[in-house]
Amino acid sequence: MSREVDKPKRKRGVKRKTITPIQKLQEAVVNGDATASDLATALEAKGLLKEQPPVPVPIVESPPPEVEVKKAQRFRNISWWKIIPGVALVALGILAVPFYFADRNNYFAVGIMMGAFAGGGFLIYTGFTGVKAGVLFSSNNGKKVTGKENAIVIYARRDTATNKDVPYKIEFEEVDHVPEGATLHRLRNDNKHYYELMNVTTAASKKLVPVTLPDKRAFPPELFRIPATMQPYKDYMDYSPPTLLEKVAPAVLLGAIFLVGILMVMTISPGGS
Amino acid sequence: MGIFSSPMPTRTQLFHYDNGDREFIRRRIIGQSATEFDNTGDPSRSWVDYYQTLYPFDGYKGISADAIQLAYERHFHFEVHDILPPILRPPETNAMDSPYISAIAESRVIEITKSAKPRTIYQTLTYILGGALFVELIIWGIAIYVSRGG
Repeated sequence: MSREVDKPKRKRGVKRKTITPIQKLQEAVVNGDATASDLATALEAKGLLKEQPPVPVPIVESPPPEVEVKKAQRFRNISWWKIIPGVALVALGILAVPFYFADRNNYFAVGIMMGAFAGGGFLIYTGFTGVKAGVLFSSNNGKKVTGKENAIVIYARRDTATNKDVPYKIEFEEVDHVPEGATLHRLRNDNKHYYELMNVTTAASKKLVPVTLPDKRAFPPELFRIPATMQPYKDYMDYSPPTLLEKVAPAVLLGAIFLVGILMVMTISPGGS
Repeated sequence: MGIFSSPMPTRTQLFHYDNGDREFIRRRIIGQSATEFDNTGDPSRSWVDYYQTLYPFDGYKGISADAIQLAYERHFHFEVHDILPPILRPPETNAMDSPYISAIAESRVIEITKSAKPRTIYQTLTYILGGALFVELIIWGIAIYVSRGG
């Protein structure tokens, strides 16, 4: 008996993992990449149709779980550069209290107290409640950001009534199986690399496809700016809607007119100063 | 709304660079187009923007939530799902005088003609009331001068 030398030795206790083409097709049916009829045809060709029934495709009859809409999480920004001067101001106001009680006519101490308490309180309040203008979002469509997201998935679903695609979300996801042809792209926002995939959902299947860019230059954006912005009319393009100050100015002026009128009557009337 | 500034409509793009990079970038909307401006403030590139092709995005890390437009550096219109109806789809030919481009330019002319108001009602009211306050102050001064016996 001649022993096969080239054959690698199998370790004890380790089962050999072999996936037959039928098993691959079964997985494809479950994943939605192939139909049940494909599997039936393959089984029939092998003569296994009677012995091994096809894997049933899971039918989703239950309603989709309601997505809990969470508010975007805002990070409370405690500004110590406001709080510390605020506390110092309040302390200054407290120091001025004995001077007031020593001399009730010490209006300078009263002014210091009022200014210090009001200003310090305002600084402490805004220091605790102030929120940065740039709000950081830690959620990812209601899910917590894990840092394992490796794909930007672009979703659209087919509306059966109008037979049109309706985009419904872009999401960062963690994808286990990357479709063939997908490559990593650098995202300049965080300098990490992601796949960019497109979710193609039809009535029969649901699968991910890599986004491919068209290899053409039909109408470059450099030329499109001319009709889009009408460059000769740049003076008109600079028109902007009125600011809040412009909107408030008439009301402020009206109040000033009333105030000046009252002062005028008070000063001109015989009883006035 | 800022006190000294007015809000400008903006659009967040998932921008596809020519070298394969991607970026979530915010651009100002001029008419029907998301527009990029150069350092001198002049528009340098524009991408057509339709509400049908906007994808909702809930935000991720430092990228804020917005409706996302897909944009490509080589072409002024780019979509991955065939969403736009054929009547709104841009022509495949490289022609500046196509009816599609003419319609966009014409709509932009109509828009800027309507919106280019040199003076708003707020500014008019401010000028009138400012003048009234000035007259009132002069009358007050004259009255004080007269009441003190000239």
